[in-house]
Amino acid sequence: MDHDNHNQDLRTIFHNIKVPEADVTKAVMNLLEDKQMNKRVPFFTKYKLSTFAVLASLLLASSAFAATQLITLTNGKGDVVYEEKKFEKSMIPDHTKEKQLRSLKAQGLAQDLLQPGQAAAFYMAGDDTEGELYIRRGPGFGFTDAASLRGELKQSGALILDTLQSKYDFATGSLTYNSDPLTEQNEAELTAQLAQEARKSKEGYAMKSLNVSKESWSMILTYKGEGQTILVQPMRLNEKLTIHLPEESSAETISADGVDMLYSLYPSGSQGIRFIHNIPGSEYHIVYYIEATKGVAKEELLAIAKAYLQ
Amino acid sequence: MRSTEYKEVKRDFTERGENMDEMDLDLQQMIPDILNGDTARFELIMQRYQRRIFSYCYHMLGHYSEAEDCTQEVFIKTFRKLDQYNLERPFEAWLYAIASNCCIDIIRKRRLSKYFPVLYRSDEHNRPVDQAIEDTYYNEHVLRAMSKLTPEERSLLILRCVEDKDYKEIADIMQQNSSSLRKKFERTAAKFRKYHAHIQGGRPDGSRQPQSRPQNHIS
Repeated sequence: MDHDNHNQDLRTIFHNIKVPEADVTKAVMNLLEDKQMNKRVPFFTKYKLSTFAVLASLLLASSAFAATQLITLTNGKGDVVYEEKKFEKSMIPDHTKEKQLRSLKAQGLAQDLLQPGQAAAFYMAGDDTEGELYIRRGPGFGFTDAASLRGELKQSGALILDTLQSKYDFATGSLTYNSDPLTEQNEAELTAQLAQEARKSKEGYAMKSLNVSKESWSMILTYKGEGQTILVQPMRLNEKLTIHLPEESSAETISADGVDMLYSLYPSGSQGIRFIHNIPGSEYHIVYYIEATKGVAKEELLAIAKAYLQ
Repeated sequence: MRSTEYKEVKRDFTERGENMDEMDLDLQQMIPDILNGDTARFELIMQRYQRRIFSYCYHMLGHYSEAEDCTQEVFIKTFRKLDQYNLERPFEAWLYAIASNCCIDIIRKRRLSKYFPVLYRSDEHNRPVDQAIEDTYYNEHVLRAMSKLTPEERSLLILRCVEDKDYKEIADIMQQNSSSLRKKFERTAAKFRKYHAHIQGGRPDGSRQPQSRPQNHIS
């Protein structure tokens, strides 16, 4: 938060005002359910595929997932480092309403309590022995110029351009570092420790800061020009990334300068392209995802993608 | 190779300098379910945001019952418009924007009610006295100083000083440029301080001069 200290007097005035409690949940839910305001519209026809978002982070279960069509990308060693598959509810069994609420609360706590660049494990206790451990990151670091971001990510293998195709200028950048991965044993020990603390606490949760690795991160960069917007989303990882989509992936595999890329054209007219950049001499690679508004031609999007292969 | 599964948030575009992927992650999982008929899940969204939205409405309107009604209206509108929610925008910012519009509508209706009392009569006069007193905003000086601000200025002040939002977040809510919001906020803060000091009588200890009849609405 960019608090300006010279307005602390105003914050004090307002924070001294006691806001009474109110709960309109029942009134709203009764109204929604009684008046059958439920819209039974199939989700897929309403959402732009390009903006579809379903997010949770799961540790890899196993090959128990239904063997549907897989779209994949490999690194320079031939290992699959990216795949797209259709999301099935069976992948996350017992995803109860209470569990979802705890997950939401963990996210809220992370946003309230963590600073940019921080990560923590939150154990959210439920009834009896229920509860889960959530690994959450704080807000990302914001950047308004490419040079500062380049300075932050020196030697990382990431390419941060000032301009794309000489017409789309860097607008904003956001960088979030990932926490160091926990071994299974560490995770089990941490879960046990925090579960005990959470059950004793009034708030029903316990947290512990985690080390953050500058080796692994994700970014969202936006470029703007001529009324169009380009999103560039690189992720520096040393593990496989799996994306779950609401339906079978319609991505088309194309080759550009000898590199396999997944190209998607969305119903809205916007388009996206994803590919792997191998970092020489490193166990890490960068998964690039670039998306462009419909006014950008496919050839131009490909040219932008190729610029990141240098 | 170790692997991590994500049900990844993928957005078209973000105007923000923050990585939004995790912030709305569970919401993005719930919204499709709600749109597909699982209305009960909307309660999770309410539980997450209700307190903050009520606090915002309470400060904007300066009146408990109106803030309560407004909060209800915000979530009903949110539900109705859920299929229009654009994932480019953080959910919280969208929710606050709905709350802001709702409060501004109420404030405008109050102003009109001065000129058209028959059309816009509230039932306040029919309420028991003790409830009317409980409805009153906690700090009368703040209430009166706020009444000198436009609804937009009021919203900006509350988002910054009560909700502790940074300018990027406020830009998302108000759909304005963060640099111009920064300047607007400084002007608004100066304006509020001036009126607040005047209403307090300009006394350093904040003690009051004799007041006229209390105003329990800001309009």
